[in-house]
Amino acid sequence: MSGRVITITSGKGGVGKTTITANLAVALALLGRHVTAIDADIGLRNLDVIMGMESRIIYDIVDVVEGRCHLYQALIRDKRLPGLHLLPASQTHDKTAVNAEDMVAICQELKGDNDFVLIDSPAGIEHGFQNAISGADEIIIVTTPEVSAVRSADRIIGLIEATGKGPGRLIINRLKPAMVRRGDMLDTFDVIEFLAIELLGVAPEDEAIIVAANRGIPLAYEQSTPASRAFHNIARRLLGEEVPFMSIFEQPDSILNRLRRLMHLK
Amino acid sequence: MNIFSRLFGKRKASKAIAKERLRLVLIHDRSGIPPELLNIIKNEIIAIISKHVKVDRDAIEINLSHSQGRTRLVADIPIISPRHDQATEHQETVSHSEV
Repeated sequence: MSGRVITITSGKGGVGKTTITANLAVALALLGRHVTAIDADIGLRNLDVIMGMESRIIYDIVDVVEGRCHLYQALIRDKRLPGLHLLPASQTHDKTAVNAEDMVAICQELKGDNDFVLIDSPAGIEHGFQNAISGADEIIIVTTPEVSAVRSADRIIGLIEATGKGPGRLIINRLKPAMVRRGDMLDTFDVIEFLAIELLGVAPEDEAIIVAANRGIPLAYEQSTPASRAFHNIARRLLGEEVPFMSIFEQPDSILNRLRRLMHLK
Repeated sequence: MNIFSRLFGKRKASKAIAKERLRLVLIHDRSGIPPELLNIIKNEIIAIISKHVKVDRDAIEINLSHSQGRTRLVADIPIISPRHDQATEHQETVSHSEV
């Protein structure tokens, strides 16, 4: 087996990298793939909490790099999905504890028995980000439909292109269809027009994400909410399926739609 | 927002403001010419031109623009004509740079 290493990054913090990493990992594992998620945010780990594995960490990525344990001793297996593992970040060391060569070596080893290795990149454009993309075969850039996040995404896309790993694909996260409809939020087309990059998916803002984070059970275990369906669609696109985009997220509002809504036809 | 503005989308939506601000920010970011550098360039251009002609300092506009795959530095420097003692506008493209 030689899996694909995909780094999820954004530049700006708080746009949902960790949530997307966790949910894509779960969605891909539900589709029968072997997946290992790596938390590359050394010193500020969070993927363990989002995946509900925080109480089961024994070793972390710094222990692996510094030779205190073997890579496989540091992997935490998901309780529900046997094909899903997490390699947690260290919470105590600083981000220089792992370098790019370490990351590449870990990715190479994990590729051997995984279909997907998903790396949750730290925010920013420095050491941690460079490490996180060093082992990547593909890169996913996450943004929200906001000026600050799109600007950061543009910067990150430029940096990724400079490393020759570009151009990457885009996920627009936390889109609010109602705000798009009333013209108070950039829509999918606006963001794509600015960033000129392939769209991988659009996920709506969804309160269920917060509930899922409270519980430590990623939303993607169930497909009952809009964001969860969006994550599953993205997972299937990663597998090469042609999944149509959910129209409410990508269509700018037409006069006809506004009329329909006013007349309560919709 | 009344029913008509809602129906025809006439209200100046904040999305339009967001797009315009984002457009300008990205022009600066991508060209590697932040506003503070543009200010330095502007002052130096004013200093050079002022040696020869009197310019209307308050009305000078020097901006980056982007179209057809090229980023341009566009300067609009109104010159105060000594004969009529009033501003007459001259648009000059001071430099072209592909970024």
